[in-house]
Amino acid sequence: MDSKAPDPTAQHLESRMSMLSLIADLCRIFAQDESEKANIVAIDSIKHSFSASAAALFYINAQQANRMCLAGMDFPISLPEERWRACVDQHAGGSRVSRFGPWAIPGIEKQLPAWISVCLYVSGDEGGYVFLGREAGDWTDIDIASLASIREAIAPIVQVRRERGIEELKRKEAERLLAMNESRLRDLFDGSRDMIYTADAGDVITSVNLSTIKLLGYTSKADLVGKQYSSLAMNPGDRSLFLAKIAANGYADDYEIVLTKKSGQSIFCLETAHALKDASGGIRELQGIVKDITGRIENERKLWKMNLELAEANLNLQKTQALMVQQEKLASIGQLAAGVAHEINNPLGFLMSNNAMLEKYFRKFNAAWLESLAARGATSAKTDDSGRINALLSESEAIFAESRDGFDRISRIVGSLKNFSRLDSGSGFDAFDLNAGIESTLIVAWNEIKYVSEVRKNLGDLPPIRAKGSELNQVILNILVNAAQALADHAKDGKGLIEITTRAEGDNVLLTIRDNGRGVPETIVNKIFDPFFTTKEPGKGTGLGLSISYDIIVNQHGGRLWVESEAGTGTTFFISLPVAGPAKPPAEDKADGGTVE
Amino acid sequence: MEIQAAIDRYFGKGSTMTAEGSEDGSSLEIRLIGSLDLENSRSLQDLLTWIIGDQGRHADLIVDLGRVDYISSTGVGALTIALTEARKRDTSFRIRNLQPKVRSIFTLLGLMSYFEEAENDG
Repeated sequence: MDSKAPDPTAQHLESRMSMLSLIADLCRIFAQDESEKANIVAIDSIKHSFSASAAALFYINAQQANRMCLAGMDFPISLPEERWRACVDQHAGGSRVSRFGPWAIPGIEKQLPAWISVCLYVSGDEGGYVFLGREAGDWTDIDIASLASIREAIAPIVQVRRERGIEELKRKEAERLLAMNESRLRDLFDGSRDMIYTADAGDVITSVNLSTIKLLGYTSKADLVGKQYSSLAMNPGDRSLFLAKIAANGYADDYEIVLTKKSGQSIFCLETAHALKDASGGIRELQGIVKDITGRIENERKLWKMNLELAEANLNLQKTQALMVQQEKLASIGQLAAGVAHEINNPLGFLMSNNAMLEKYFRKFNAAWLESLAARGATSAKTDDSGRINALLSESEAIFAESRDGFDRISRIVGSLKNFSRLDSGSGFDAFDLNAGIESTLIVAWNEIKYVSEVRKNLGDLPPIRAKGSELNQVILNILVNAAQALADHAKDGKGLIEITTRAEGDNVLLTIRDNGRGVPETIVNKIFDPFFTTKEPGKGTGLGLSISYDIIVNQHGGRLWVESEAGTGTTFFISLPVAGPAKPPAEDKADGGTVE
Repeated sequence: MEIQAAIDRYFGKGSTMTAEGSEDGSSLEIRLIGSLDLENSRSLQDLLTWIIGDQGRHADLIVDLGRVDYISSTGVGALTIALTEARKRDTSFRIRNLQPKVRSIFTLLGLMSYFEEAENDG
């Protein structure tokens, strides 16, 4: 104990100063440090300021452990909960300072007689409890008041510290969630297998995902960022149309556009994009997703092409089939004609000879009659009987002559028919007299021609040519009939004119058939040899005649067939045929299954 | 049904494509105006199929693309399908006045060579 009597005022002042200093210290400590270390520093400070023999701070840390720090020790100690509770509940009840003793800090054997304790601060559910012990003497009222005032000062600081700690935790959690979200969105962006991009209001690319680089064949995002989007499109105009759509509607769905890879290759893509607008309604950013639809387009394309080719092939097949049928028909008509002609020949033969014989008998009969008249001396008297018989006999002359004419005509027609179909020469090539063929064909066609046209022939000297006569006759017939029909439709004053000319020209012979009919208009003159092309009404012609003729002349005989025409003036068909026949085997051998072009 | 009425029916109001049709004997010309996007291509396909198939009274059909500012693959497809139908019926089907970028889509699809082009106007 001090011998000098202490000055109460000075002592009081000193005490106050000391407490203020402690408060300042504790404020600083608790404001800055949120960890358990603060408690260690604090209790050291408190012990020193109160000149206590022992000081301890009981608290529960963030991990819910019951702790106690002893002034002078560097580390807090964990206590079993019941022990900790026992100390605190018993001795440090509440906001009022308690006074008790003797007591020892758990784990410290040394008992001290005088103790004060108080709840120094409350932090959430927990509190920090100060225990101050004195070895000698007792705690004064001033000490108690000081401890109480410290508590008053500290409490708000600790509260703020706690709130700050909570805030900090929340902030960290928010940051974590944000980072997680950002990572997730980035995965979505870069992981997407479609191209995703953003562009600014001027359509300059501001970001692209990984698939964009892959799709367009670039090596890094930097290659594309900063580029004008339209520079990636095969037709930049298409991008302008797309942007106009977005400007109008705010978005555009499923828009097909062809993009160009770095290599120059073009790929079909499908884009859906929308615009982000700013407050004034202007476009702030474009965001779009682009899919590569090359695969789908390829499939569609193949399908279209296949269907188109099928339709073409089908059409050609039909035409070829019709052509073949028609040729068959013509061939069988030819056969029929030849057969009929052949059949008629027989009875015609004996009709003609019977007629000749009858004519001879009548002549003999006439002679005998005249003799008998003369013998009877009936030269003058023309009795009724003899007059009638004379008349009959002279009429009979005329009748026999007419019959002979008729039979001759039939004979010529039959001959022409046989000549025309020329079946007797077989299906091969033979020496053919073109002029003779023209003559016999004229007779066959005469019925069509005789009422509408004159025929003028200019048949020159021709060598025999190697050809299939019946087929060439078909061609001539076809052209003659066409000419006659052209003249018939175009009713002129008087008859029209068909001019047939033949002449030898080096290795070829040239046949021209000219009519002065209505001619063929320029717009269709190239089409007249096309199969099924006809200017006649449906049902009045197959349109196959000239195409078959073309096939016969060009393919079968190695010749040329062409036409010159002037609308209103007339038409001329030119046929040129090689004298030696076709150079290679005729086209008919394709029928063994090769494709027909 | 009148051709123009049919056109209006297939393309509908508010469509981004219209067409003008004109007949000359058995020849029909359709002039398209607008964008041949997905939707319009479908309408065009229906229209042409109807003209060629159900109508079937024209021997010669020409589609003028001079005022088509955009064509998608579906548009080319619609014209190809129309061409197929025309071939089946031996109807003549031609297109004309293709702008270079329209032609580029036909070429990219490998279908340009299948189409017959009528003479372009000046």
